[in-house]
Amino acid sequence: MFPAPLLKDIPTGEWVALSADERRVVAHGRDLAEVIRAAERAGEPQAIITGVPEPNVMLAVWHDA
Amino acid sequence: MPEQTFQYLEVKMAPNAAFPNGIVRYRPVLRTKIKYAGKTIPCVSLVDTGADACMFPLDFGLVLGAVSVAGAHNSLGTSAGGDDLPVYYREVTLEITGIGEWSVYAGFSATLNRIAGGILGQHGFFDHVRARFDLPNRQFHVEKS
Repeated sequence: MFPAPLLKDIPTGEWVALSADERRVVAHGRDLAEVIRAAERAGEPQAIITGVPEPNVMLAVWHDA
Repeated sequence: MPEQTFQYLEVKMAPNAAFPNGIVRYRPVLRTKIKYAGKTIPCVSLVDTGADACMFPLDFGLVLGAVSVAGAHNSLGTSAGGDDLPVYYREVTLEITGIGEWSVYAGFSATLNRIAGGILGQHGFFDHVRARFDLPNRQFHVEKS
C-alpha cells in the first residue's frame, strides 16, 4: 500500500519490512514470518510490514456476511 | 486526545488499458499496529467507510498466532465481485498511531494478502472514532470518540 519508489525493485506478492522511519527496505520475501525475523536481526523489531500489491488491485471490501 | 490530521497517500498507478498514461490515486491510510498474545505487527491500513469490519491479511493472523486455517470462518465479498475466500475472526488489539488503541473483533483473509495491508471499516474503527475527509485538500481528520 506504500507508494512505488521504495518498492520498485521488489517482485509483486512479496512481503516487505520497512524501517520504522519508512526510509528503507530492511527485508523482503514470500514468507512473512521470515521477513519479520530478518528485520529483527537487522535491528528493526518494529519494522512496518507492507508488500507489493498486484497492479491496480481493487481495494474496496464491502461485505463480510 | 484532540483531532489528528493526516495526509492522503499519493499512489501512482501503472498504465493500463483504461488509463494508458497511468493515474494518480489518493488513499486515506493510517499507521496501525495489530497486537495479539504479546506479538505486534506494525502495518498500514486503508480507512474504508464502505467496509463492514476491520480486515487484515491472513498471513498477519497466522504469524501472530491469532488464527488457524482449520478454525471457524466466514466468507468475504468485495465490490470486485466477491472472492468467496474464508475470513477468520479473532479479538485482537488495534493501535492507531496518534489516536489510541482498543480491542477489535477483526477478520483475517488471504484476500487482504493481495493488498498487503489492513482495512479499517465500520465495526472496530468507525464505531470508535469520528472522521472527516477533505480530499480536495488531500487531508483527513480522525478523533477518538
